[in-house]
Amino acid sequence: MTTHASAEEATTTPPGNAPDQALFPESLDVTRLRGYLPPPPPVFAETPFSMLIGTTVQEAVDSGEMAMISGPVGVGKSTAVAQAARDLDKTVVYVLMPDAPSVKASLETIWESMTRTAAASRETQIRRDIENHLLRHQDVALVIDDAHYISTRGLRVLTNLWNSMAALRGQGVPMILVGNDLPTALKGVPEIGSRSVTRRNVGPLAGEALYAFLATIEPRTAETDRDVLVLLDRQHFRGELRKWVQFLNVVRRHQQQPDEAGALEQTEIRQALLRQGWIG
Amino acid sequence: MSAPVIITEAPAEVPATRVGSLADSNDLTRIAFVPGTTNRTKAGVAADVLSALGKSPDVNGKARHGYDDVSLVPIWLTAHRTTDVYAIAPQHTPSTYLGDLATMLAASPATLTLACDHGYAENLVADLAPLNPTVVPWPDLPSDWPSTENEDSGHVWDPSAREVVPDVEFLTFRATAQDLLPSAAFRAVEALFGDVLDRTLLWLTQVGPENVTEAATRAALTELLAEQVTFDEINIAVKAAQTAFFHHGWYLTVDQRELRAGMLRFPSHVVSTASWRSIRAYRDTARAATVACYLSGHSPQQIRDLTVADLAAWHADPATPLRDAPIHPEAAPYLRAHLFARISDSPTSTDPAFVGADRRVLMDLRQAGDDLGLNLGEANLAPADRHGQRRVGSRVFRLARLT
Repeated sequence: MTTHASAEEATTTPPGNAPDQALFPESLDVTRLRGYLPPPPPVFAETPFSMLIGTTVQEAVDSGEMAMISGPVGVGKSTAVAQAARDLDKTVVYVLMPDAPSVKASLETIWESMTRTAAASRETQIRRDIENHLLRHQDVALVIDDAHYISTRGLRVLTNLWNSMAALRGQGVPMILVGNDLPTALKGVPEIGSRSVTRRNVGPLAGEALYAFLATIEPRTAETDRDVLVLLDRQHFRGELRKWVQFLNVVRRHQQQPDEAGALEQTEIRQALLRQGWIG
Repeated sequence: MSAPVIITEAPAEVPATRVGSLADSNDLTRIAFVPGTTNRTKAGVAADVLSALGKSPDVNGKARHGYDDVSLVPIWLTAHRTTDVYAIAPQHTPSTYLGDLATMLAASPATLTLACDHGYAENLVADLAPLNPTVVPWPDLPSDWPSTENEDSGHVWDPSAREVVPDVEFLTFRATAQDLLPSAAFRAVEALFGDVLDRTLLWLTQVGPENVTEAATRAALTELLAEQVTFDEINIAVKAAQTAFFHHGWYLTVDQRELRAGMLRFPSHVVSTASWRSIRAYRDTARAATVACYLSGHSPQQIRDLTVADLAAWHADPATPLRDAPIHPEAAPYLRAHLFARISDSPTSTDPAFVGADRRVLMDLRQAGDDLGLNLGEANLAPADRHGQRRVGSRVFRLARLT
């Protein structure tokens, strides 16, 4: 596996060492380190959607095509894509698009994520630099998260980048676009469709798949009354895995015994919901 | 006036980039490029076409003697005998860009084909109505992408990757190269490194430790290094040789600066297809043609003595030698381009083919060595009868016994 070290690895202080001023200068904002895949969750639970996403990512990388993974917030798209990317025999560049970027800012983000160096000042030069970099590093795959923030013109430039690679070497650069409601965002650039090996829409998890997921990340949910889980999901989480994970983390953090077993108790559930501000 | 413009639309679910398979980087008779999505000046449009012809903005030799990029486009297209220029997925390219492109190609024999994605042909035809485009069906495309590998070199070296060959101590060289280089580039490094390592180890075993002297080492390594075409290859060979000596208990110090200076004195006797192709990076016809003549076997003085009439006579019959020295077929496009560029100055037949002071040839060759990573340069400093013998200074290699 040739993915970059995760941000967590890059910023973790060695055990027993206090943070060193030389290692962590004040000017270094570690939250802005670009290009690294997000750190993996403590427990990753496979879901039907995550398996689908894994296949999609692999197909895009194998074919050098684009892939689109679309779905609402919090359903686990980014986590599943990052997990799939970690298993690839590729240099994966993770690009987190900022909110409403200009075309130049989009290209800057891609360049800085790929090389962790400052981009050139002109848009055409940045584009040329990215092309040259991709030509020299043919095993690079781009994962572009929050792709719905990219403007139509930005998407055209991105497609243009893919076109250049495809025209020069016969195979485009694998680009996995992840975002909310991507089909709408991509309406202005329909040709992306002919460059995409797969388009996946993922939705909130429900039914047995949801309960299997919950049981993997917190075994106590398997022993909890199913009606309680159904009610919780209907009232608070609506299949959003991110919210479920946050909720179960709070429950785990505040349980009486570290290795507490048995079903989730009403008081625990209520306390966790209160602490998260989901109930008044 | 503009070049003939053809529009072809890709079927649904087929990306227009597939038309790139018609272009062949080994044969520039058909070239393809992806135009930008923003408006550009004419010079910007010209730069895009020149880039598709392999011209690199990163090397020197840009626009000399008043030939700007716009006027160089038809010159280079004609010189490379390019008949088709494919603009891929131009549906979001401003029509002024495409208009300028068509006008620029008018002075060349090339046809401009706009290969757009499905659903865009109608708009493109409307936007480019003044150019009277012809709409043709999507062409039959080859199933395989053309190979870009050179036929006559064992290990294909990509000169554009030269600056990423790590310049580190020999003990860490191979591992660092594996870490930093893309797998294809590393395979080329590995092949050369392994070859030189094996041969040096064999030599060390055959001569025995008692006969390993600095003079013998110099003689043996000069032979190995003389085979290399680029400085990168010399660098890799040196690291491999140092590793072999270390394996036999010697520490071999190499003065890279001295070595490089010596290597510059004589042209490599190995001129590969990659050497010829690397000249494509030049936009300036004079520098490209100078290097092409030099690699064909002309001495710097012979290059200085060439006249426009000589070039024209060779152009009329390329089979005949140019001033007694035959011109390699791969050199022909560069000489043709320079002839076309020179003719635009309206010279007389006895005017020199290459304008400028005498030292221009030397400067161009030295610069080309740097720009293209090739072993060529100050060959003129030695008389012609000393060509073919690399000069490796006596102080380049130093040996110390480790055990």
